[in-house]
Amino acid sequence: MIPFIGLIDGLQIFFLLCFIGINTGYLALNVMSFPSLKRYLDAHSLDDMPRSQSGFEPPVSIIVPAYNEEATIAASLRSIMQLEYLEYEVIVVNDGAKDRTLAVLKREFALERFPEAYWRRIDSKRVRAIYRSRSYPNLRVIDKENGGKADALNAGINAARYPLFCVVDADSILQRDSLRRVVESFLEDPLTIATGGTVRVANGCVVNNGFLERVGLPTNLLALLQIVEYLRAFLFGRLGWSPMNAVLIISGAFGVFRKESVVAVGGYRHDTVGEDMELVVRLHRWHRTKGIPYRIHFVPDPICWTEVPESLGVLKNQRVRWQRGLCESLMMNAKLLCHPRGGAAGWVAYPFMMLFEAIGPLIEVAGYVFMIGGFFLGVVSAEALVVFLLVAITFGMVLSVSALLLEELSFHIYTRPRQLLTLLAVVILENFGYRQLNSVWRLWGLLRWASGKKGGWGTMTRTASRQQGNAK
Amino acid sequence: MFDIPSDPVLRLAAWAGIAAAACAGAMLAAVVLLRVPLLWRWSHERRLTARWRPVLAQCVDNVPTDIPRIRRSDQYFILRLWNYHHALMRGQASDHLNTLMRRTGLVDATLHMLKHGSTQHRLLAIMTLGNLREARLSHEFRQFADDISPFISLAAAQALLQTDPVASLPWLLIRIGRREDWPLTRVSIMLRELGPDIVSRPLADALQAAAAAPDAMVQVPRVIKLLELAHPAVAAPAIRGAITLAGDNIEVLASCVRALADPRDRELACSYARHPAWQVRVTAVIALRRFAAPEDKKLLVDMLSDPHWWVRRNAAKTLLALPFVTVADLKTIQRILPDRYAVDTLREAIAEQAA
Repeated sequence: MIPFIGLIDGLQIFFLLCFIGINTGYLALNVMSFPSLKRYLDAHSLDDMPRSQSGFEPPVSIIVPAYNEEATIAASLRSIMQLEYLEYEVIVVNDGAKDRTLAVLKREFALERFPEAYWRRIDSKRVRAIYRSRSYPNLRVIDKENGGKADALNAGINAARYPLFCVVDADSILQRDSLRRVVESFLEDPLTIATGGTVRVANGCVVNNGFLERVGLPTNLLALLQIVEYLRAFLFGRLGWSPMNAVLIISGAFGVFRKESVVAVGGYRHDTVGEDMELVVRLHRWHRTKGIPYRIHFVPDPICWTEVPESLGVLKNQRVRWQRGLCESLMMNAKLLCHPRGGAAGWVAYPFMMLFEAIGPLIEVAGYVFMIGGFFLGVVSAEALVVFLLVAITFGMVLSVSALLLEELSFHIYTRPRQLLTLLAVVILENFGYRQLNSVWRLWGLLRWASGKKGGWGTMTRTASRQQGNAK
Repeated sequence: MFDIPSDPVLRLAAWAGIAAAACAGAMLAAVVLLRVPLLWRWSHERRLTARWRPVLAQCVDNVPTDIPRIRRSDQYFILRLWNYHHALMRGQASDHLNTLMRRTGLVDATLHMLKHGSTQHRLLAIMTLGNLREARLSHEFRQFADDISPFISLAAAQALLQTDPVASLPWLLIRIGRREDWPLTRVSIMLRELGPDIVSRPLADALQAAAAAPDAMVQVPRVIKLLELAHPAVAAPAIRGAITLAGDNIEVLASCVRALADPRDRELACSYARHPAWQVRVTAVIALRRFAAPEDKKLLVDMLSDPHWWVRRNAAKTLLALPFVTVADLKTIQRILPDRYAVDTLREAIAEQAA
């Protein structure tokens, strides 16, 4: 009996320390992002002054992979065609959609077949035809056999004519100056090979002609909870890593890459659902192990807005997919872990992601199950359970509130007092159930990855609530 | 009420939880407390803008005499507003803005910001004093132009060019070549405002110096791009000189060949169209687009079969851009070309032209 009691006590201490450790790790990242954000805001304090374009801006190929996007593709493309940037082309890749995506594109953009000398530098499924638009000279559409998002992106890279390419999800909402802001990193630092920007939640916002007109909060609770999550993930989750050149994730919704660097590493991998993260981790690995100097930047400006799931089922699928993608990305590039030339990416960011993001949910869920189950079985004291819940919830709150504080110190996207009060309530509320539910989904993703199950294009039910102008 | 446990580990964890709760509470309060002055500031700035915008706009015609009083706490905002209008106005209007600024007495405050301010204040001060063309501050601007921060140094470089372009340009061009953190986009806007008469000779000299420098690979591609802003008659000999100095350095050579714009360099460009490195061949083909003669047609048709895709593509684009080559000529060439890749490339270029 005594060894059993010892084991129970040991496990209690283990879970308590794990929870404190995990949250302290995130908190450290948070602390690192404060000076980083301050420096960024100082340096860019005069960015809103009127300025002219020089003609020296590098031209950019914008790649828009599309699969069953008949409802949104035309509006999204129209906004992309209005970006404030001197020279860019748009390449839409229709990945063998089963709906009328191609027909909509043909009708809306006056497409005609084009005999392009397609240069297949990266493997991708067969390209059936290439079209160009008679109404927009800088728009081309690649119609290819279905091969998944990574395959579509690779086909887009093959067709890209410019040295930088930008990946944009078909449902992303950009700001007119989004591209200019992200490309700036490439101008300021010639070693830059990739840059990502902050993605914000579009639900509840008013969108006009494909551009964000007014920021609002959604009425749906799940979407509200995700606003705080996105603040956490982008404002300190990525900004903290940027000064160390250890950003391991650039969102697939909006990122800019140097084409030759991506071609050199072989483009996007088809065998992962987290192709966006996997590419960034591989870029780190490739450059680090070969000793090639490079930089991967993160721009904290809110430049891309995306619609988030408003139903539990869709959200669950998304989170399971993200977790699998994370695990796959890390495992596929395991050589980066503590590689002698791995730098901060290999010695800090990779182990952090591994311990806190990949394995973290297992510890979190196990901790809750053990403590609550143990209490009902009478092996964990009420005192220990209360302390455990206190630690788990209050540390989570610190992280959520600090993300909101960072936002309040920087961009003030939500300007109305009522919006701020709603968010204050949400940062507290999300720690009572939502975060725990998320951990369960992520654990499910971890298990799916461990069981080796495959996936394809993520599906997302569009509510288009933002189009109705129901800003709160 | 919750009692602190007696078990040492639980006690420690409980205190950690309580500390975290206090920390979260403090941050929540901070979020609210930060918003209150922010709301007041936004509304105050709206009022300031409403009061000052007509005054600043009047500078288009003359210098306003009725100048609103400026509180110390409003100085930063008024300076921003003034600089914003300065970026929109030209000629006499900007002189009026400068006179207005001197009358407000804000220059001393700006000098204080320059010396003792935060990065944000310093940036604004440099911009303001540059717009005011305060030549007496050249020494300070030079010091700031060597600052490690690209934002401070670039702002100081701009201020130097605004105050004393002739004397500062050669000094700055050395830094423009070396400082890769100075985006060429910004530098080119600054130089373009000076005009080709001022920038041509210093740019040509800078290119020669850059080509002979140990880090020519970094400097030449940067300086040579800026040569577009110079008079072609001054740029051409400098580019030829840089080509001689480039030797086997592919990157430098490619940058130089790409910049060739003088028709007298046609044969030079043709010779580089046969260079073993594709990066050089492609730039030669691009240069030929500016001045190729009818006798270069055969060379360009041959290049449609180049092993490298970019060379083939640019050869086709050059052929299409030449005034003495018609689409009908190209369709004839397309029919007789033995190489499938060349045919595909030409077909694409013709289709693109027809768009």
